Amino acid sequence: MEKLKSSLPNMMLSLVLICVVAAGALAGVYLLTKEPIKQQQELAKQNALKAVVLPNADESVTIKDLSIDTIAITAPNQQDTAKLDTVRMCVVHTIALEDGTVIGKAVETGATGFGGEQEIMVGFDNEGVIINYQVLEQQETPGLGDHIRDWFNDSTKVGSYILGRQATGQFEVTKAKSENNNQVEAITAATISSKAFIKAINNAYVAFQKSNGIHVEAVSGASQLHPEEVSEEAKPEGEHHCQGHCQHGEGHQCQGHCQHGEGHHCQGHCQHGAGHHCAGHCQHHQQETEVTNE
Amino acid sequence: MNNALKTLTNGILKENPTFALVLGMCPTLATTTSAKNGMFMGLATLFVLVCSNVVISMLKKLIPDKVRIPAFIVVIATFVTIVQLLLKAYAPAVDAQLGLFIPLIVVNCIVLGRAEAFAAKNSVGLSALDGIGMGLGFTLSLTVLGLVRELLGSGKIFGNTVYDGSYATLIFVLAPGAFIALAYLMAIVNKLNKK
Repeated sequence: MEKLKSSLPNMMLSLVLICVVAAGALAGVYLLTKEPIKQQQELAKQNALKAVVLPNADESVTIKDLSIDTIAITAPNQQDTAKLDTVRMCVVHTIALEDGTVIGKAVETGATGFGGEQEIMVGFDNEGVIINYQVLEQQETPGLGDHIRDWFNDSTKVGSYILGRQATGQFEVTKAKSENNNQVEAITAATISSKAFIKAINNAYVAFQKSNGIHVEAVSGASQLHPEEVSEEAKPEGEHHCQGHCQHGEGHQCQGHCQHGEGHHCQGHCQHGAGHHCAGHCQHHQQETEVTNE
Repeated sequence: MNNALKTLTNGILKENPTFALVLGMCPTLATTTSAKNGMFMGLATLFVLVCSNVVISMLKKLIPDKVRIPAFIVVIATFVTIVQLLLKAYAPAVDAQLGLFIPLIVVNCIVLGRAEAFAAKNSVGLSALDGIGMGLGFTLSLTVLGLVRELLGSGKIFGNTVYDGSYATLIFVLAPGAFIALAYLMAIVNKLNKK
């Protein structure tokens, strides 16, 4: 057979033919692999769920995903605190054992890291203590930022070990030694990745609290105010409770520390703009800027 | 027979796609952070290369010259998508590692290059052998490059710790290290080829 001449009908015919066959082949392969791909994704998610809430359980233990809620939270813009907040959708799975006992919640959330989005899943017990986490997706630098997978769950590094810590929504990255529950030592030479990761953990806690009916709006100011206190007390004019709004912008004196104990009032809206005062006992480090917000 | 053997072995050293022809540098530099990654990338390319070479050499009479490039690309892209779907379905771990780079095989100039330079002119059998040879050469060079970078950069070989990672030279895992390692390996291969 002679090679086809490059005439218009020939070119059209051969291209159309090739494309039709290619499309047919792809459709066939797609149909064949559709089910297995779905199963693999389900399996991966199941494994991740189990890993974050029941890390030490063996394979025979099965868990039930009681409810899956998608919760929108407002996360402060990471790059620039002066910019608008971003809304992030978090997926909260309520996890129970086979007999129905609720053992905790797994939250899928993320933050923007150095190389792109970090997608993580965090497991909390019913009290909000971090059980475990898994990095679902990340594009951090190999050898540096990608240590987020194994840095914060390495029990030999006490300062950066976050498992078993009571989450407060106010974890912050420190380059020095961690001095309290909220301070987490950063990955060496990967501060931005660490900050993003800790931000994601804070996001997860906010979503976790929200799914429990506790209204927490912002990440670094995440409040542990008792919900009844917020709802029941009448708010005097100009005297708002600090509900974790204390984070945006500079010059805020309320740094989201307004959470321990009752009776703290945040005078003025503790958000947007300067000159906010936190009346009452907004304890610890007034005047400092919020580290996690940078 | 001699011809066939020559076609098969050509790609491994004398016309090694990476070190001698210097084709497909993007995946070469990007995926070789570890020996395993390099190897899987090479194997995925090998599969696409053999399939596209065979199909293109079968169709070569049916494809008019003026539209040969779009026709080749469609064939190659089809096989790449098939590989991607298969990996997702049956080897999710590999897919998680290489997911981003698989679609890049479409624009890998080795695949198009061999289609154009070899498969469009030779018989189906020889084209298949050429695909295997070139694919093996590519796999081999990516694995070696990955091996060197992994060993120097993180102290491991195929994920097994050889020495304490904190003594490793991190730059070899990063982009500059890819260029440095590639240049040295290329020099060695050139020296071997000259003899």
